[in-house]
Amino acid sequence: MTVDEFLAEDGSLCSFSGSYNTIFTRLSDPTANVAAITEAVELDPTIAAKTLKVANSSLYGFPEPIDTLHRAVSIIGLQQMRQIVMSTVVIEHFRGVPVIGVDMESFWRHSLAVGVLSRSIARFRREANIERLYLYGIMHDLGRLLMFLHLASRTEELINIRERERMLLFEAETEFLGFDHADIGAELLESWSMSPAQVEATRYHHAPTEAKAFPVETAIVHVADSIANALRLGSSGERFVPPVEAETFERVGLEMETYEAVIGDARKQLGQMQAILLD
Amino acid sequence: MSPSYKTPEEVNALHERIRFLEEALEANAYAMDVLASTTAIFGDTDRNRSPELIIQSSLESIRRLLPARDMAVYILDGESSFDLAYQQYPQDDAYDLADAVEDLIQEGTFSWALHQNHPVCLPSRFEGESLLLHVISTRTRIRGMFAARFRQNELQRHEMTLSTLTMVLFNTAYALESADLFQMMERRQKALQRITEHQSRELLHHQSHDSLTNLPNRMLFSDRLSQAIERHKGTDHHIALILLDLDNFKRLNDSLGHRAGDELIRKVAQDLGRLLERGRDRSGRPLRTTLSRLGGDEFGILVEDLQGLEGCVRLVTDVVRTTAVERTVFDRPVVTSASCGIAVFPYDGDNADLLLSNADAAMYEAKQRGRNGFRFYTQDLNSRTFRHFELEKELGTAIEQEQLVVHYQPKVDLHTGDILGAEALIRWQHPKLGLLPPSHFIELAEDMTLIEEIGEWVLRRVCRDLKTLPSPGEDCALRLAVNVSARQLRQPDLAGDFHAILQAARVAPECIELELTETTIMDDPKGAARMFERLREIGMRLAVDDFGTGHASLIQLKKLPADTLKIDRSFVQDLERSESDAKIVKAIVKMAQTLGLNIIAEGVETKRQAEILREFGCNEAQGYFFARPMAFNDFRALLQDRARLPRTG
Repeated sequence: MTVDEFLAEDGSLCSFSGSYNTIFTRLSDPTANVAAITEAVELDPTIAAKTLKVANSSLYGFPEPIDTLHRAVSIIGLQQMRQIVMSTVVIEHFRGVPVIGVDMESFWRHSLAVGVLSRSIARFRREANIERLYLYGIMHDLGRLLMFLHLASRTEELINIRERERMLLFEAETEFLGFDHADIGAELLESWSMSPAQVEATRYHHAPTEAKAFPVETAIVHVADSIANALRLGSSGERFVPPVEAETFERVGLEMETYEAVIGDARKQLGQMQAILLD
Repeated sequence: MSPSYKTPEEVNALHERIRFLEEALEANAYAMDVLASTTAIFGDTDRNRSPELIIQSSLESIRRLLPARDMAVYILDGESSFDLAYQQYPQDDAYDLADAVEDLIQEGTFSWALHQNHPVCLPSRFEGESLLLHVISTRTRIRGMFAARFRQNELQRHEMTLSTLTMVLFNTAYALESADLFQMMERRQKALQRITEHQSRELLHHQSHDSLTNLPNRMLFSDRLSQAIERHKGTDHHIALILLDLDNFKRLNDSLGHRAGDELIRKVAQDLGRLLERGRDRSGRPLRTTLSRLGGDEFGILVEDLQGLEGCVRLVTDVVRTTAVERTVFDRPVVTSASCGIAVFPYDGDNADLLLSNADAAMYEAKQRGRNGFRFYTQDLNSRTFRHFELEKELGTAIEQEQLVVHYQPKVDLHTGDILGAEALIRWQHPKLGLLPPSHFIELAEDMTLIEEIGEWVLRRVCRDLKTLPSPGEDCALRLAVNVSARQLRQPDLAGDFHAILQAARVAPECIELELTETTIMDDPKGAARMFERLREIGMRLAVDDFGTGHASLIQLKKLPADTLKIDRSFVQDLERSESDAKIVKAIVKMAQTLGLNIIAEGVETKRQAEILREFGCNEAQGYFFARPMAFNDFRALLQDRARLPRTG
């Protein structure tokens, strides 16, 4: 079985419905202006409310309340707003999908943690658009959700392999299927026309040295994933901490001491973000 | 789907989208141009590396990107506060961009925006206007804030522009950072350079100076010596190199300790320094000297631009005397003396090493000769210069101490051998140096203007001697000749003075013959003629000495009221060997006879010379062949014996 065949099996998994679809399409349109984005978000009151809450959260720490989406867009930035809304939509959409063998709460907490940590790392690197890293983090394990959904009762076999071979889950996946959740996620994002940087960061988030075009983005997600696992901030099914190589830390470029601040920063925001997005 | 199914609404949307894309493409291409031009932000020379210029060129780039109504840049100063560094269109409004930013600072939005690495658009208090803040920051350091105000709708489609803004400001931050680093580097480099220069100056001084006395050391001294030699080459000025060594310094060092020794060296150095500062040459110019401590108890003194050695001798005498005094060192009296060796450029060497080693040899000799004195390396200079200097002092007292004596060399009749007279010759009976001939001191006496005094003394002595001779009154059968020097000839009233002396001694003027060399006469023929005239009036007889060497013309000779010509010894010497000399002597004799002058030959040393002269018709002669100059008593004895010269047997 190939990844393509895997994805082709159930098209419904890979596409949004109703207003989500409209919002997503509109957000992906590079010609959309502030008014168009604002209108699109307002199509779904839940998404609109959550987006406004995020804009007012400690993630941004804007000194004054932001009371309209329009204002949020102008302050946070159009591009940034796209990524925030997109991640909110993705979480909303997939939270409702019935998956066997995975603690959905824990899965999203992990995803959110990797998103916030990736963002925090990018922030300490003083990158211009740190929200894209937030988005990459939140969506990096979507492939696993699809995989569990597809395997359904066979998920147990996968877990057994992991226990028997005492390997990391993604290694067991390759053993079991010939590809892992990262491959599935990357293909999914590609089909959604997400940016090449996000596709590559997702595809190689367990093998960052193989990322040739966007090595820094990939390395950031990889490091954030490892930190989230190490801190047990939710789980996407991995029980061990994937090791980070020195080369990858070097690529990210932060001093080791800075990670304390990165983590402290992320921890502060994470609780609030969980309350906004997962409740 | 084919286009025919499109609704008009969809078609409009597509049109709108195409228009947008076209605009965006154009804006992107333009943004790329602006971005490419931002390399100019980085100043690459001292001139354009200033923060002001960086901000200015950065704002020029931004102005092409943003349709801003006003722009300003705030720069983080050293004390972590933001100062308005540049505002493009300051407006006279009651409320301008700077005021708006001030409010944002108050609200906290400004500091919030510092942590957003993207443009932050904020509502303005004016309808339809927005404020834009963008931090100016490198990856590690916030350097300032960019602020602008513009109409909201103008920014709607400038997404690409805003990304470009981020990049321009990022470059600006790095340009400021590198300008800072350059400045810091330059400051450090300058500081380092200052330190290095200072240290190398100190090191140079340290290397070239003696630490105890702070005088130039041997290295610098020999360098100065070499330079002086180069300067003096081709001039007729001299350089004297004096090496001074304290006598018995080692003994003092051993008995009183090294600290006392050092103290003494320091004091001697001070005294020498003061002495040299006062040193003057003959014309009162300060002497150009360099004092150096060459090591241990050895000092070097370099004296440049010397015109004669007298100044040097005077100086070194002072040096020896100044050094040889009692000094108090650590409350104890210490008596030192010094020995000096002197080498003189160009006589004693044409390079520094040779001069130094010769001066050293001379100093060693000074030590050998009993210390507390000086020696020249060139022995001749030793005798001449030293003696010169000593003589100068001693000659002054020679007359009163009756050290001057007159010797007489007989003048003889060539036919009979009878003594016709004598030439009075002055001698100096020097207490240490023995009997000195006039060549050793007459020139000096002339320099010292002692010559008049000496000249008169000689005449007086000759008169006195004349009176004691056996036949003083007999018509001046005996004539005594006295030499008159050029300097005496210039005496205002030589004739009067001489006349007074003769009168006082009661000597007939005819008994005294004055001898002037032909050269002296020819230096001032008119003056000589005038003087001869006056002396002649008195009655004194006159002789032209050294005749044949002074180029006198016959006319001048004719005008000169002389009585006698004295043929120069150089012709007489070669009379036997040189036919031309013989011819000259023969001609002189003939000429003298023609002019009615007496003729006498001097320097006759052989019998043959005497015979030839007689054959030529010369009647009178003087020379070793007949008699050497002798003391007056011996001369008188000869006369008493009525001796005929030469004495044979």
